Amino acid sequence: MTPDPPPVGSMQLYDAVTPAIESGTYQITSTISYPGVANAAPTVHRDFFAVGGSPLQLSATEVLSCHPPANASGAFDEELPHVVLSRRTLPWERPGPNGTAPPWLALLVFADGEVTFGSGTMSSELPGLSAQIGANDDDPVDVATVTDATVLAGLLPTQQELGLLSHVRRVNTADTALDLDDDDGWMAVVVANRLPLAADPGPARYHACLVSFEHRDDLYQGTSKTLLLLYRWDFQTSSDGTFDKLAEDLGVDTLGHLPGTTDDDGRVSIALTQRDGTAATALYRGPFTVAATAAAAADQDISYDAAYELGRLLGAADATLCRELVDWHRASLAAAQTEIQTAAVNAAAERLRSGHPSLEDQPAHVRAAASGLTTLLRRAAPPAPPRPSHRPPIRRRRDA
Amino acid sequence: MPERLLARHGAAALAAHQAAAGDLTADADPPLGDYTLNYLVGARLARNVPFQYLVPDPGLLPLESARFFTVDEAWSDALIEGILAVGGSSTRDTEHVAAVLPALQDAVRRATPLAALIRRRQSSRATLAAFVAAGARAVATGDVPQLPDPPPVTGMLLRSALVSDYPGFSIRAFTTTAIDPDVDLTSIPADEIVAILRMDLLAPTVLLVLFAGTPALVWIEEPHHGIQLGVEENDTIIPVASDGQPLNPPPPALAVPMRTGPVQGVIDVAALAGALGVSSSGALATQLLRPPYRIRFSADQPNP
Repeated sequence: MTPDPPPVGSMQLYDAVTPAIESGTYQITSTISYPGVANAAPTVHRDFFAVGGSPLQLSATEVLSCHPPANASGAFDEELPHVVLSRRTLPWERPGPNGTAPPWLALLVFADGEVTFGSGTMSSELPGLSAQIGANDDDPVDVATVTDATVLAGLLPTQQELGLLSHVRRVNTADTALDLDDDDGWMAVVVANRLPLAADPGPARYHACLVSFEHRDDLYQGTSKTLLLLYRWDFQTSSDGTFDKLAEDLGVDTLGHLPGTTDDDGRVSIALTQRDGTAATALYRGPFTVAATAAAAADQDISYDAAYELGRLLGAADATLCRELVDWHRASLAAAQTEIQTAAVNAAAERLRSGHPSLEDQPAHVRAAASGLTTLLRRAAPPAPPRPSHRPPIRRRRDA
Repeated sequence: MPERLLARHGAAALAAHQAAAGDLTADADPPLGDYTLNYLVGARLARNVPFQYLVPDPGLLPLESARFFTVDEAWSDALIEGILAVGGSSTRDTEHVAAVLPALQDAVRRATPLAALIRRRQSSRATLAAFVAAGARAVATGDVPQLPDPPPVTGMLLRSALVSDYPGFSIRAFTTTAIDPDVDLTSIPADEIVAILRMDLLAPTVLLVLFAGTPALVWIEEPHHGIQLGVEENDTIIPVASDGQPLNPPPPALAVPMRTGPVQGVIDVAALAGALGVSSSGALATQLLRPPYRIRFSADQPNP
C-alpha cells in the first residue's frame, strides 16, 4: 500500500520501486467452463498485452528535470549531475547489463571530446542487441560512441554501483510549480558518478547522457564503445549560475514605478490617433499595481476601458463561454416569458371562471397577454352548432 | 355563452398549462453555467490576460528581478463586465446583465480565495461555481451572511533564469516575518500561512504567483525533487544521520574515494558507500544530499 505523502517541506527517499511485472509482452489466457453443458465452445480466450515503454527512447514527458540545468553555466564542480524521471518505476522496469537484475539506466557524464553522437538503426549501430531487448533491427536509435576505450572503462559504473546510483524520491507537490502538471509527487532519480571539474581557465563543456545498460555486458568486456542513448543534455562549468547565486542577485522591488516610463500612479502613456486625426496620448495601467484603489479618473486613463474591451475579446474567443452565456440569456428570456404567461393564464382563468372581467389590477403586459390568450382559447374551443336561419341570404348586386 | 363553453372545454388545457408554468417559475433567474462562473473567478486572477496588459512596459520587469504588487479589484471588475457583455442580443439582455452584474462581481470576489483550495485539489470547480451562484443569489436578495471581507489578492512576478533552470521550486508566503528558518513547516499555524491562488509560467523565464492576502515574508526554496547531490569543498563529505539530520557533534569530514584512471572526477561509488557504511541507494542519496537553498523576501513589501 502507498504510504501517506510526506508533509509539505519534507522528502522521502526509497531505494527502488520495482514494478509488479517486468516489461515485455504477455499473453493472457481465460477459460470459461459450463458445468453440465456439452460442446459449449469456445471456452478458451487468448490475448496479448505489452508492459512498459520503449527500450530505445524516452518520451518527452518522462524527463521531469535535470541538474545541472540544460545549457546552464555555473559552478557545478561540487554537485553530482542527476536526472529526475517522472515514472518512479522506470529504472527498474528492465534488466541490467547481465540480463537479470535491474536497474538498466545509468547517467554518464563526458567532457567535451570524450564522446561523439550519432544516430542510425539498431542493426547498423548496435548489431545483435535488438533481439535481446525486444526491439526491431530497423528501429531508429540514438547512440553515443566513446572515443577512447580507457575513458569508458574509467567511467563505467559497476553492476553494484548501478544499483546505488538510482533511487526514488517522494515530495509533497502542494507548494511547487509542478502542481499544475499531472504529477503524483513520486519520481525516480538517476545520479552520475562523476563530478564535473571546475573550469580552468575558461568554461568547460560537459555532456550528460542517460544510457541504457540492458543486456550490455559487452561494455564491461571491452568489446563495444557504443552506448544506447536515451536522453542527453549539455552544461558548462563556470563561476556562477547556481540557484543561490541567481537568487542572491535578484532585484526586488514593487511593480509599477519606473521613472521616465510611468507616472506616479504607475501608468504608462500610449500614443494614439484620435478619430479626427489629431495625435493624443492615453494612460494605461494593468491590473497589477501598488496603487490598488487609485481612483484613476483622468480623462485620458483607458485602463478600465481596456479591461472591459479585453473581457469582450476573451469572452468572444472562448466557444464554451459564449455558448453558456447565450444559453443563459435565452434561459433568462424564457423564464421572463414564462412568468408573464403564467400570470396571464392565471388572470384569464380567474376571469373565465368568475365570469367577471377583473384584469384591471394586472400590469399592462399581463392584461394584453391575458386578453390575447382569451381570444386564442376561444378559437381553440369547438364552434357552437349553427343556428337555423329564417332569413334568406342577402345578395348584393354589383352595378355594371 | 362562449365564456362558459371555454370554461368547459378549456379547463383541462388551462390546468395543464398552469402546472407546467408553475414548474418553470421556480427557475425565474437562471444561474450561469459552471464554466462561466469558473472563468469569472479566473478573471480575478488575471487568467488568459495577455502579458502586455499585465506588464505594459518591459522596463517594469527587467531581467533577473522580482516585483511585488496588488491586484486592482476595479480592473478585474471591468474585465468581468466585458466578459459578460458577450452573447447578449437585445436591450433586455443588456439590462439583465446590468441588473445582476454587481451581485455577481461581489460573489466572484468572495469566491476568489477558494481558488487556493482548487489548486491543492481540496475543492472542485463545481463547488466553486455553486459557491459563486449561491453568493450572487444572496447578494441579489440582500441576504448576505455577515462574512469577513475576503483578503486582497496580491502577487509577485519573477523574471529570472531561476524559473527556467530550476523548475518546481517551492514558494511559501507568511503573514509574519517571525518565522524561524529551521521550523517544521507543519507546525506553523494556518493563519500565518498565506495561501497561493495561482502559480503559472507566463513565459519560460517569467513566473506569476498570486497570494490570498498580503504576505509579510515570502520564501523561494530550491526544488525538492531536484535537491542537489554533491560533496563539500575539496571532495570531502560530512556524514549525517540516517534520517538526513546533522549529527551532533559533527563527525570529521571524510575524503571521497576517487577512481584512479585517465578520467578525472569519477567517484568510486562502491568504496564511498562502504566508507559511509551504507548499502542501499536511498541511504547513499541521504548522505549526498545538500540542503535546499532558500531565499527570503522579508521587507515590508508588497505594500498596498
